[in-house]
Amino acid sequence: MLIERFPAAPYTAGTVSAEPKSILVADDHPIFRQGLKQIIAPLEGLAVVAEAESGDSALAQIRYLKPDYAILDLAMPGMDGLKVLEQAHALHPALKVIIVTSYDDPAYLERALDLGAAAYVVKDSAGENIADCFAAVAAGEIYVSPSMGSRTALKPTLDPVDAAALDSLTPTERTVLAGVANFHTSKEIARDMDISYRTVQNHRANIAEKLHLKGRHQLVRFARANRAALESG
Amino acid sequence: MMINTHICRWVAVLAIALVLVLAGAVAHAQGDETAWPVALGERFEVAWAPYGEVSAEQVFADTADLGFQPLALPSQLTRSGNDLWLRMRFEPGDWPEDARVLEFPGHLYNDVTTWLKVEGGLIHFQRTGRQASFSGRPVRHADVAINLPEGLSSQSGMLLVRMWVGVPVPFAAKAWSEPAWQRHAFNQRAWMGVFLGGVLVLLVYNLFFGLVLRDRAYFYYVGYLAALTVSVLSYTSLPEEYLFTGGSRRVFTLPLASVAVFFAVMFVNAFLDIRRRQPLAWQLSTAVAVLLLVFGAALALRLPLIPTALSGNVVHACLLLGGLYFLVASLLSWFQGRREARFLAQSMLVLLVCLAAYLAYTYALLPYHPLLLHAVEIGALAEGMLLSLALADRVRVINQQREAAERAAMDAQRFYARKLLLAQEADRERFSGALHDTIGHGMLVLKQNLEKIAAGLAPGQGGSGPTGLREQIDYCTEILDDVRGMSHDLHPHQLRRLGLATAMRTTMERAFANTDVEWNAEIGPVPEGLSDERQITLYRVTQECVNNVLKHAGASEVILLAESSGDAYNVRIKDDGEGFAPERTGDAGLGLAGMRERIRLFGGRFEIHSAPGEGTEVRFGMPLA
Repeated sequence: MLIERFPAAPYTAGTVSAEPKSILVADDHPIFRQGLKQIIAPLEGLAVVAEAESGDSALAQIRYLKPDYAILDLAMPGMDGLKVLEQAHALHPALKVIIVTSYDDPAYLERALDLGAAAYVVKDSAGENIADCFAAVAAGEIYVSPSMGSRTALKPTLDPVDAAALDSLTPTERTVLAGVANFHTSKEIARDMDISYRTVQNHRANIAEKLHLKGRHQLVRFARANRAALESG
Repeated sequence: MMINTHICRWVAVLAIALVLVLAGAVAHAQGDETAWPVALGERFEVAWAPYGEVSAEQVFADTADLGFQPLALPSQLTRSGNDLWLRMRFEPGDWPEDARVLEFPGHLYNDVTTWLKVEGGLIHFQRTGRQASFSGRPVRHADVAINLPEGLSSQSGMLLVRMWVGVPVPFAAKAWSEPAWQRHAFNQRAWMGVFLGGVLVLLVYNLFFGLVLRDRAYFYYVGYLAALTVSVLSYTSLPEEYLFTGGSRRVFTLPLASVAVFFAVMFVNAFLDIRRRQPLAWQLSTAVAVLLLVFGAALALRLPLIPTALSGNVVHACLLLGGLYFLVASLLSWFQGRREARFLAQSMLVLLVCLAAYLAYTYALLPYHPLLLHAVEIGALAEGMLLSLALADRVRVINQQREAAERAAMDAQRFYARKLLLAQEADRERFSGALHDTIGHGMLVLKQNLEKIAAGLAPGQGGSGPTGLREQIDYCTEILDDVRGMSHDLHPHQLRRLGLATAMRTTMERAFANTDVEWNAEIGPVPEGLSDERQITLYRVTQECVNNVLKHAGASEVILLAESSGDAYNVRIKDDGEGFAPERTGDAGLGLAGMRERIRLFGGRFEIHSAPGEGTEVRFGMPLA
């Protein structure tokens, strides 16, 4: 699944290149490193040049070998994959990091992408996906295992909503939103306003639509961010 | 048991005030009489003769040539090894009108024999003194006194007194009218009543505290004051009145004083914690005190432990040493900043001053005065009172010590509880990691191998149904999910890697993912200063709350709000479920006690707001520092 285009690829991807791209594989399980190497071996233009079984070792090798790619496991003894990722770019800015992990929590994905990972592959499907992954990354794209797709919840960032959008709300809707801002459940809002629970739910849906708020957390986030305005109005 | 210090203080002060008022009343009643007593001491002439060498007849006949000299008071008349002869010649008008009792104040006269010869009349013979039987005494309720016949003021004659005294005593002679004497005797009794009553109150009061507080100092005090009191009483006529009605030949003053000083030393050592602070001083003083006890006992039982001639002096020296030790130890402690030592120093000073005054009086350095006669009793009572104040002070000290000890125990308990929790958390982390990396990883490899096999097979070759290859792969996926879920529940691996906010959000996500519960989590940035232990505690409690909502609340909406406010990070979790009555349920169910305790251990706060039908809100937070 392609999330976004990497803005500027530092090198041009080609199917045939004079020198194969070097890869560092960091995982604390030897079997898994072995498996990865087996999967990568037949792929053209790629060569595993180093292995690491801990984060510290991976970082040291990134510093001295300057590989093109680093495949990092998230859970490693000592420094984990995210920490390596955090520091690797400072040591070797051109490095493309592929996270290969058994954790399929969206939170890890978000964090890894935040830290500039080029790919996030879930180990369950690594065997099938790794070739696609390298192709995408070589093309300057960001690759994420398809199995993550269905569960990916975008980080709840608040899209800038025109403060004037508040004016589009009816007084009742504003009251409902103020209730949400004040940490009231829909039942409490319904009781306070002496209307039915269903009605409150409808209001909430309408408000979300009017303000173009998507996702379940956006409404609360928006309400709290605009609490002052809601209460004064 | 904790005792209110102020109450102790006030009771002690009140008791002292009461005793002072009573003593004042007695003294006032005494001073009420204007004319009586009439001092007659200077009318006497004095002479000495070796024990039993001269008889009354010889003195009357003036054949013994004793060389009587006029008295200039105050003077100390005792000459060791001698009978003390006193002679008063009187003419009509010399005795005051209505004088019926002649008192020789002081109780140290062992044997007093008087001959009163009126011109042309018979000789009145009376015998009194410590060794005289109580019932045979002419005037009973007095230290030493004799009766005077009626109409003496109009007659002439001679009064002859022979005294045998072992210790220095100043001489005084007081004449009383019958009513004045009755009042005087009554006042003496009243004074004794006040004295003994006061002592008894102090003893009971401090014995009570000793028993309640289980503190040795109080028992030593009780022993000290009791022994001191009995020792003082041995200088009065009370022992002959009640114990040795046939007259006492033995004086238990010194043995009793030894016991008193023994307890005094033990008291000051216990009170000032000398054993810990000055082990050498403690050893020496305890040794001397025990030795004193032995000498005292030897003296009382007349055991030939030390030469009889020396025994009195040795015991006296030890007594003095004990008193000085008491004084010096308390003064030094006072100067070293132990405020509770001040009453000890003051009390011993008062007692020593009173003893010194009494001694000065017995050596006739001070003239006769009723207060001087009672100086030792006054000193003992004042000592008892001041020490009682010191012990009231001690209640505070002991309370503070106990509170400190309780706090320390509590802290230790918390410390270990925290350690236990952290150890448990570390264990869980290990198990969680092992589960994830061993079984989880094994399942993953297995699954991938199966997939490889499946990929190598022609369609339809892997079999179908429950035993088909595809089915096995799906089964692997299921187990894998279960293992990862268990691993996550055991330890939130996200907490360390992604932080508290993400971990809390993920917990909500996981918990409510496959339910109809609508959930919202608004989690503010977690401040830098929040320690790992506190983060994990907040996380665990959040987890527990979420589980409660899932299991018990039947909620349709859950909101979690976490934010920094001031110097704390606070979490609120609210659901719109069934709610419950926290005051009825107590902390018993729902693991509330565990959550509360867990939060409290790390210095946080925890509260629950709920009512049946009203949903539940749990609020908890942790300080940053």
